[in-house]
Order: sequence, then C-alpha cells, then structure tokens
Amino acid sequence: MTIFDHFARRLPALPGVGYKPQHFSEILQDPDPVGWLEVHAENYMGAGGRPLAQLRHLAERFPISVHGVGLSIGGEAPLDRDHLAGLSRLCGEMNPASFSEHLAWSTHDGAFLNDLLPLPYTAQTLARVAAHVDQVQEALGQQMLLENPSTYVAFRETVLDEIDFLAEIARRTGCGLLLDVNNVFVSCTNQQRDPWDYITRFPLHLVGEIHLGGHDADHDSANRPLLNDSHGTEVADPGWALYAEVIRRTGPLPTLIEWYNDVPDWQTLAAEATRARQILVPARASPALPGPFLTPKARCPQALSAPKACPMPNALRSIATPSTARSSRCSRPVFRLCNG
Amino acid sequence: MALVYLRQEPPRDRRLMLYGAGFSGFLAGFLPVAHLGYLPDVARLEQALRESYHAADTTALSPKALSALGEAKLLSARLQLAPSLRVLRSDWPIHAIWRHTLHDGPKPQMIGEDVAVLRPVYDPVVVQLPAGGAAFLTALMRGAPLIEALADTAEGFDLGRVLEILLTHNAVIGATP
Ligand SMILES: [Fe+2]
Repeated sequence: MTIFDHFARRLPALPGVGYKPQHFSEILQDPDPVGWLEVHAENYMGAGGRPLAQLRHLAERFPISVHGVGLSIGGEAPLDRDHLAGLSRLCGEMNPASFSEHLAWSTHDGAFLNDLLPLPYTAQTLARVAAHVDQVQEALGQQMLLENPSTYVAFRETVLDEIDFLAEIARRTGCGLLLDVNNVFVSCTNQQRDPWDYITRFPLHLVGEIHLGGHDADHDSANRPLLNDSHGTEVADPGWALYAEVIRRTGPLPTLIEWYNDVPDWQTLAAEATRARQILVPARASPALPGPFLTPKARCPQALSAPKACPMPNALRSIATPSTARSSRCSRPVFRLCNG
Repeated sequence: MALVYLRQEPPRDRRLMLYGAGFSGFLAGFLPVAHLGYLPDVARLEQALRESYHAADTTALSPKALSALGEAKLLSARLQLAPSLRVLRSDWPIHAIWRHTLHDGPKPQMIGEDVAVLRPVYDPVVVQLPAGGAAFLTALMRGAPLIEALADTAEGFDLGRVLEILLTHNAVIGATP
C-alpha cells in the first residue's frame, strides 16, 4: 500500500461540471457557481492542438479533475501500458487535483468497447482490481478515486456485496471512492434494491467526490423500470433527494454535474450547479463529523465561492472554441465516429 | 453503415478521437455504398482533419528566415514540415465535394483533386494543391532536399504557389542546410 498526502492536492467542496469546449468562453467570463472542472482523460491525450491548449489554460484557473474512461481497471487483462503512460503524461502536465476511474471494464481481446461494463464481485476480481489500482497510483504518483458503476443485473458468480468490494479495495490500496449518486439510483432500481439503504451502508468517509447526473427511464420485458445512465438530462428529483442525504451525512463534498450527451447551454448547466450549491451551503453551516479520510480543514477549504468572473482577453480568442465548430472536433464531420 | 464498421473493426485505441483510420478502407469494400465511389476518399480527408487537429503544436519558420538562406542554400536544404500537415491524392474532386457537402460550395466538377490539410494555429483547413504539388510535398515529408523533390516534378510545376501555401499556413517549421 502506498501512502499519499491526501491534502496536497484536492478538489474544493464546490459544484464542478464536466468540461465541454463549447462552454470555454462562458466559463472564463463567469464561472459562478462552478468551482472546478472535470475532463475525460481520453479526449486530451493527443499531441497538441486546441483541446490541450484550452485545458492548459483552464488548469491555471481551476482545479481540474481528470476522469479516465478507458483504463478498464475491472478488466481481466493487465492494464495497457501505453495508455497508462499517456495518463501519466497528461496528469504530469496538468497536475490535476484528482484522478478517478470507474470500477468497470471496457476492453476485450485488445478491442476497446466504448462502454463501461460491470464485473462480478469475487475474491479473484477483488485481488485483480486492487493490483490495478496500486499500479495506477504508482504510475501517477497520486491517490485515485474509484467510482461505483451503474449496473443492470447482478452476476451469478458475485459473492461479495458491491459496497464491501469497494471498501476493501480502498482499504488495500489507499484509494478513495467516487460516489456516483445517479449510478446508485440506476443500479438499485434495476436490481430492485433500496438506494437509501445503499448510501446508508456506503463508507462515506472514503468519498472524495460525488457525481450527479441524469438518466433515461425505460421498462424491461416484465414491465419493471429499467434505467440507463445516459448523462444527457437534468438530475432527477430522486437523485437530488439522495444527494442531499449524502451531504447531510458527510458535509460538503466536491460535486460534479455530469452532463456529457445532448450538452445544454451554459445557463442550464450552471443552474444545475447552483442547485447543488444550495445543498452544499447549508451543509457547510453544520458540518458533519469528519471521517478519517477528510479532516475538517480539508473539508472546508478557504472559501465556498467560485473563481471570480473576468472578461476574456484578446490573446485567448484563438484557443476559444469557434462558434461554428461547437465541438472538440476540427470541423463538422461527415461521419460521426468519435464522441467528444 | 458506421455501426457495421464499429462491429467489424472495434477501436483498438482508447483515444476514440483518433478512431476511424481504417474507415475509408472499410467503405471501399462496403457494397451498399459502392455507387458512391468518392466516399472512401472523403473519409480519408475527414481522418486527416482529425489527425491534424490533434497533432503537436509547432512554431513556424518565418518567410524572412527562409529567404535569408539564399537560393542555393534553400535548394539543397531539407524543410521540416509541421506534424499537422497531411497530403491526400484523389481521383475524385474531394476538395470540391467536401466544400459542397459541408460549406455549401458549388457543385463539384468530376475531376481528380489533390489537397493539403494544414493547421495555421488550431483549426485545420483544406487547400487544393496545384498539379504535382502532392508528389512534391510527399517527397519533402520523406526528408528529401528541396532540389531532389523538385527533380521529380513535371515542367510548369508551380513551386511558388506550393511554397506560398506552406508559408501562409505556418507549415514550414525548420530548414536544415
Ligand atoms: Fe459518474
């Protein structure tokens, strides 16, 4: 187990948003109430160009959370060394306040499936995931957060409870946990379990970041509700209620509004962040008991306010996303192949 | 169609932003679009734009610095070109098709076109090359000295125009005598 300085680099206990290039100018002009940004690592692993130029600039003004979606930590195969080296380069340059990945897998036989798939919870998978987390933390030289996945069915081989599984990984590796409240709601609904029971049993003292997002509702063949973590809508009411309960128990935590598909305009996104802040601020007035992971000092950083607004200097015009291109891509594609 | 490609050729690289390198080859052998012969080449152009967009940042050599070399030195020099430069040759009017589809350009005339993808700062652009330009640039990109790349061009080759394209798009980043 590696010992990390938990307090050297951390996200502020404020709302953050998933960064989308079309919001670059608005974020710089008036980020309020957003206090930090999360990016998907895989979109910034090119050699150069506007994506990296924007990220470098944002990293000077905002704490950055680098969220990986391609490491396949839950996969059977050893971690891809080139990919890990790429992550290490990116984190080395951006010096992010946090690095996180999902408890999931996405590669099979060398092919990368653009989906995060669940794994059975057994002694073997536990040992494997713990080894992978150790390897990541050593390569990056920083603690990582492991995120609870969204699942549709439980594996027959599963013998361990998801919460025990995550807690044990954290105990063995010293990693923190990322609690995705929407994933809790989606997984529990799909498996006819109680999401309130899940968060009651979750080791909240290990949580370094919260994800809040929207989901799509559908029905399975037996007409039971089937939810899908689409990340393409507002946070649903049950999500807000669960979140408020988590914050009541933990005190303020960095909270990401995760909205990656059908990305709305900045005002809509900022409104979701404002809603999260309304839950964070009262929680700050009556802080909960600190857990071993976060000291009261670390939990209540200097000020509960986002970086100040400022007009965009001329020098930045060239790295701002052109309004015609409104995507991280160079031009409107003939074929839509990659997701930004 | 893209879904069929996804199934046959799942991405190997987790950086999906660069996914699609084999798409044009796939299109070439995909029967339902066989009548759209230009599609593979347009897909190659799209891929070139994508690669150019994510290529490393470089600092351009100024036209002044280049002309300061003098003609003799310039001819024997090897030019270093920006890693964001891509050159494509096509039997189809890919530049015109691309402009027609995406930028409401005029209807393409059915003649082959060679193009360069260049990235002056952050936004790649597509520029049509004069006759012989693609072979000349390909030779330069291989590291051939200017004079050697010129030797392979036909009479009437417009060197001035090609150099102008390179220089105005910040595509020359060094010259080694
Ligand atoms: Fe999440």
